[in-house]
Amino acid sequence: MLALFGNDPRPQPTWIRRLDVRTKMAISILASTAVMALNQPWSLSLLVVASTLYALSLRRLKLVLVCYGAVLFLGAMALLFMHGLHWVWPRDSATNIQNLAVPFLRMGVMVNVMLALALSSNIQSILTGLKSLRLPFYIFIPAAVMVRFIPTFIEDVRQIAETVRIRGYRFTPWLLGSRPLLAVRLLFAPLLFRALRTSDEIGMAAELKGIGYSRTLSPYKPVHFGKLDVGAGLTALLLVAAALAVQLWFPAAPGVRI
Amino acid sequence: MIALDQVSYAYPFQACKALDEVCLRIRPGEAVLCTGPSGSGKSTLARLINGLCPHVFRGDLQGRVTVDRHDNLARRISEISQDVGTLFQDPEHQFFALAVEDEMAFAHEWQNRTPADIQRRIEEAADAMGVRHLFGAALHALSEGEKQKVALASIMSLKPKVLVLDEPTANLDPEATMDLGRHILRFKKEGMAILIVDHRLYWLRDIVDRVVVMDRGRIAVEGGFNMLSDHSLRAHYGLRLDSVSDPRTSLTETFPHDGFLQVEGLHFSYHKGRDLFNGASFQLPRGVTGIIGNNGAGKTTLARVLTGLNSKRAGRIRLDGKPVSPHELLRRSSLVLQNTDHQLHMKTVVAEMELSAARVSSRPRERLVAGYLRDLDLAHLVKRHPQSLSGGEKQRLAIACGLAKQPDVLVLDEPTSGLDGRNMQRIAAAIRMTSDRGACVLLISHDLELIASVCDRALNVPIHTKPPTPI
Repeated sequence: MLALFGNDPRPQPTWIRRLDVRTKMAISILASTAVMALNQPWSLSLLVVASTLYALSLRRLKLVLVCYGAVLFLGAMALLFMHGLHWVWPRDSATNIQNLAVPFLRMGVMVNVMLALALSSNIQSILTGLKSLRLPFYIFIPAAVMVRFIPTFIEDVRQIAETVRIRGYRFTPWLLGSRPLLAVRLLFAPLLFRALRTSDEIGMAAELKGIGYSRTLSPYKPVHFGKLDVGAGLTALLLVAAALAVQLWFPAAPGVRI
Repeated sequence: MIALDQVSYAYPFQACKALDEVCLRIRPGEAVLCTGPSGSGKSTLARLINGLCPHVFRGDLQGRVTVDRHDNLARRISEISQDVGTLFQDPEHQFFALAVEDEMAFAHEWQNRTPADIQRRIEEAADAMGVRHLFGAALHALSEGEKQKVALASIMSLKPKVLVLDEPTANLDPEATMDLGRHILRFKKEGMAILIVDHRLYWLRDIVDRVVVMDRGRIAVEGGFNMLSDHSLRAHYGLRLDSVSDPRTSLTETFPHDGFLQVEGLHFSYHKGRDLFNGASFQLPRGVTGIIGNNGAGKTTLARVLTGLNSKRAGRIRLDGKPVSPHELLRRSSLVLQNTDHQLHMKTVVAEMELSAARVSSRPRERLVAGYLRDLDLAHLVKRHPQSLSGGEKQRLAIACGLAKQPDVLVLDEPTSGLDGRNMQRIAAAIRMTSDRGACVLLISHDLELIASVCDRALNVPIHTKPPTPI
C-alpha cells in the first residue's frame, strides 16, 4: 500500500501520514533545492537535524536505521577511496573534512525527506498528487510508473536473495570477497531482467486500465490541504530560511567546494 | 464482436510469424476456448484483441483485428480497453495500485466519473464477485484466488463488451477454478464475448461454445468441446485431458511411523501474527507426497519451513531420524518456487545447471547435467541465456536446476502452472525419477492431472494439530 513498504500491515497513525502528499512532495522539492544552494556544514547540519526528526516521526525506527546504515556504508566506501586517491595523488586536497561532510550532509537531508514521503504515502495518493500538480502527460506517466515500481523492486530483491540461499549461496562478506563476480551475477543478473520486465508489466497494466483515455483525472478520494499542511509547509520554509541565514553569517571556509 | 480477418503477426526481430493467416469470430454471449501447445500463438491472439500487439509489442501486423466493429489499429490501447477487459495468468501483472479499493477505482478515475459514480460501480462489481469485504486489504496479502476475483471485479466494474482470459486458472485451486467457471457463465448471459486461453481443459466442458486448437501460429482444428475427447487429437497437439476426476479424495493420508522427513510440534507464524502451524506433527516417507489445500492455506509456507528457508518458532525436524538445523535442511533440499525469473542467474543454460550441481560428487557432473537437460527437453538450448527462454522453458530449467542439486528433499511449488500436456508429462516423469532415486518429493499443486499421475499420498494443509507422535 505504501510507496516504499508495500507489506506494512499496521501503519502507525502519525501526523506525517495525515499530511497531504503534495505537502510532502513540496517539502522534498524545497529540501533538494536548499541542499543545492547550501555548501556550509553548519547550515546543512541544521537541515539534517530537522529532516531526521521529520523522518523519525514515522515511528519506523528500524527501517530508518537500516537506510542510515546504507548511507553510512556509502560514506565509508567514499572515504576509503578518497584516501586511496590521496595516496596515489598526494596533491589532491579532497580529503578536507568539510569537502567530505558537505555531500554526505546533503545526502542525509535527501534520504530523510524521501523516506518520509515514501514510507507515509500510498501509491494512489502520490499518483493523484502528481496529477494535481498538472505535470505534462509525458512526465506524469513515467513518474507514476516509477513510483509504482518501487515496492515491486524491493520484493524482487527479497525474492532473489532467497533463491540464492536455496541454491546454496549467501551474500556474506566471504562470498563478496572470495567470488565477487559470482556474487554480483547472482544478485544483479535476475534483478536487471526482473526490473525490465516489471517496468514493462506495470506500463502494460497502466495502458490496459485506460490511462490517458481522458486528459483529466477525477480522483476517487480527492486530497485536501489542511491546517497541518500549512503548518508543516511554513515550518519547512522557516527552517530553510534559518539554514540560509547560517550560511550567510558563517560562510564556507575558502577551498570548500560546492 | 471480435473479428480477426486473415491476421498474420510477427514480433520485432523475429523471422517466424507468431500468427499466420488466422481468421476468428466471436459473437456476443459466446465463449471460445483457445488451446494448443506452448508457443503456438495463443497469447499473441489475446494480445491482438486487447491491443498490446502491435501497440506495445510493436511488430508487423497484416490483416485486420476489429472489436465491436472498430479497427484495433486505428485506436489507442486506452480506447480499446474501454471495450476489452483482460485477465492475466498472474493477476498481479495487471494491478497498478496496491490496495483493493484503489485498484478497482483506478481505471474509473481516468474516465472522469464522479466519486459517487465510481463508488457505486465498484461496489456493484465487488458484490457480484464477492470481494466487497476485501476493500481495505492490500493486494499482495490476498490469496491467488482472491487476487483473481479482485482483478475480475475490477474489469467487470468497467462493463466491457469483450473479456480475454489468458491462462486464468494456472494459479487457482480447483474450487476457485469452478467458481471462475460460474462467473464466466454469468458474463455470457450478460452478452459478453469471451476468449479463454488455457491449457487446462476439464473445467471448461460446460462453459465454452467452441474450441480452437492452435499450432505453429495457425488454427489447426476448430469444433465443439467434445472433439477434445479424441485421444489421438490430444496426443498429436500435446493437449491436456478433457476430463479429470479429482484425485485428492482418493489419495491416502496415512503415513508410516518411520518416515524420512519427521516433523514434531511445529510452530510457525509470520511477524508475530496468528499461528499458521500450531504444534503440527507428521512424518513423510520417501516418494511423492502431494501438499493439498486451498489458496492461502499455508502450503508454500510449510515448504519454506521444511526446506529451512524460514525458521520455525518451535518444533523439531529430522531427516532419516537425525535432527537437522535450518542450514542443513537448506543444504540437503531443493525448493523450486513459481517465480522462475528470480531463480536464473547465469549466462547460459548449462552454466545455470552447473551452478546447481556444483556440490554434487556422486556422478560425473557433465553426465548428470546432460541427463536432466535431455529429460526436460532443454538439451537444444544449452548455449541460450536463461532469461531469453520462454516461460515454459524457464520453468523446466528451474526444475532441472532443483533436480541437479541431487537433494534428499525436493519441493516443487506449482511446477506445471501454464504448461501444456506434453511438458506436464515431462515434469511428471522427472518427479517420478527423483522419487525412484530415493528422495522425499513434496508437490504443491492445484494441477489435478499432475497430482493424479505422480502422487503416492497427500498431506492436507492446514494441518490439524494432533498429539505429538513419539519419534
